[in-house]
Parts: sequence; C-alpha cells; structure tokens
Amino acid sequence: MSGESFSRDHVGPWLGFLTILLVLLVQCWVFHDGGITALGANVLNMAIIDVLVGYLTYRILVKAFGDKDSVRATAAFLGGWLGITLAGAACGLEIGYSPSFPYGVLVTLPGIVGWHAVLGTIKGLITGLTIQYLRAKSPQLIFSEVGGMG
Amino acid sequence: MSPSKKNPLKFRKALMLTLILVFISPIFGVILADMVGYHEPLDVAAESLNLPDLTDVIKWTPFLDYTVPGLPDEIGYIIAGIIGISIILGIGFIINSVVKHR
Repeated sequence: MSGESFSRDHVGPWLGFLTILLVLLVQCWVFHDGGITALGANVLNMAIIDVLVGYLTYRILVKAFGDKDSVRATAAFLGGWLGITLAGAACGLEIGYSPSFPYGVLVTLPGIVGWHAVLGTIKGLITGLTIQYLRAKSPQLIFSEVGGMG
Repeated sequence: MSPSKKNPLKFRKALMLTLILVFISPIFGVILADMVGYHEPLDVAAESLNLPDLTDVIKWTPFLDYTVPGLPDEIGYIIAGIIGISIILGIGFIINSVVKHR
C-alpha cells in the first residue's frame, strides 16, 4: 500500500513511477492481479497520480516550512495520505464514467474516496515513520537528501 | 551511483528485510485475509452486479492470485513473492546496466 510513497521519496518521482509501473506489470502479467483491461487505469492512478501528488505535497511542504525532522515526517504523512486519496478519487471518476458500471460518479466517488481517505491515514503513518527512520539511519537513500530542491 | 554501490552492507540488509517480509507475508495475505473473509471491494462490487469476470475466460499465468499450482496457498504466496521480487529486481538491474552503458 505504501509502495508509491516509499518509492517516490526513496528514488524520486521519475524512478518512483518506473518502480510502481514494474510492480503493476508484474502483478498483472505474472499474477493476474488487477486485470489487463484495468492496467492503464491502475498505472495512471497508482504510478502517476499517487506518486506525483505525494511527491509534490512533500516537497512543497518541506520548502514552505523548512528542512526539519518534524516537518519532513508530517509532509511525508500528508503526502502519503493525499496521494492515495486522490488516486482513489481518480479511480472513482474512472469507474463512475465507465459505461460498464451502472452507477455514476455520485455513487462511486464518495464511496471510494471515503475509504481511501481512511486507509490513507495508515499509509501516511507508514510513510512518515519510514522517512524518519531512513533520515536517521541512511539519509543518502532518500532522494530529496541528495538532490533537488531540498 | 546507486545506493547499493555506495553501501553494499545496507543493500544486503535491505534484501534480508525484504526476504523476512516475504516469509511473513502469508500471515496477512492468506491466513488473516481468510479469517476475516477479505475480498477486493471492486471484485465484490463487480460480482454483485453480475459483471463478467475475464479471469474465468482468459488465463495466461499459472500463478493466478499469487498461488503456485499443487502447493498450499501459504507456501505459494511466499514463492510468488520471491518470483515477483526477482523479476522486478532483474528488470531493474537490466535497466540500470543499460543506462550506465549509454
């Protein structure tokens, strides 16, 4: 669940995208998980929206509030939470507008976003704790520690 | 330079941690999931709407849903984890070496 957050903070957004893309391809092609017809939507939601939203949230908050441990942990938490929540929103829109699904976005959007917002707190917590741990033990493993805006 | 080149010891530790996670993964992915009767919410929604499940029609892998034919689900889950990680790391190493030689 936290792969998107971890990979984008660990290797940056572009390699984060590649990492999640590989995971989704293996899940779909090797384990038949996710469905081949849903692969494009899964890549858009999890490898692009989740990774980019989380990364931008993290970087913007750190830039705005300063490079402190507490700020980075909070930014990682909020990035992880917002990333999965907006990825869920994208999924709700895709399913709601799909002609194969009989219910519209007024049903799919709140249902999926609500659950993802709840799940997102767990994901955000894992992301925040992981970033804090890596900052303490192996800061060179975090993308933002070695390059970029910092 | 990749993190593994900078500090091979930490890379080995990461690999060990990954393997530990693979070996305990059936606790969550198989045993506890069965105990609480977990199913993917979208699968449940599709089933209750009688939408066709393409998995029954098109089968291109023996490792359907992280199982290995002939093995208990728990063991199959671990082997599926090792297969998945090996493929992802393998592709990663190939991409890394291609990029480095450019």
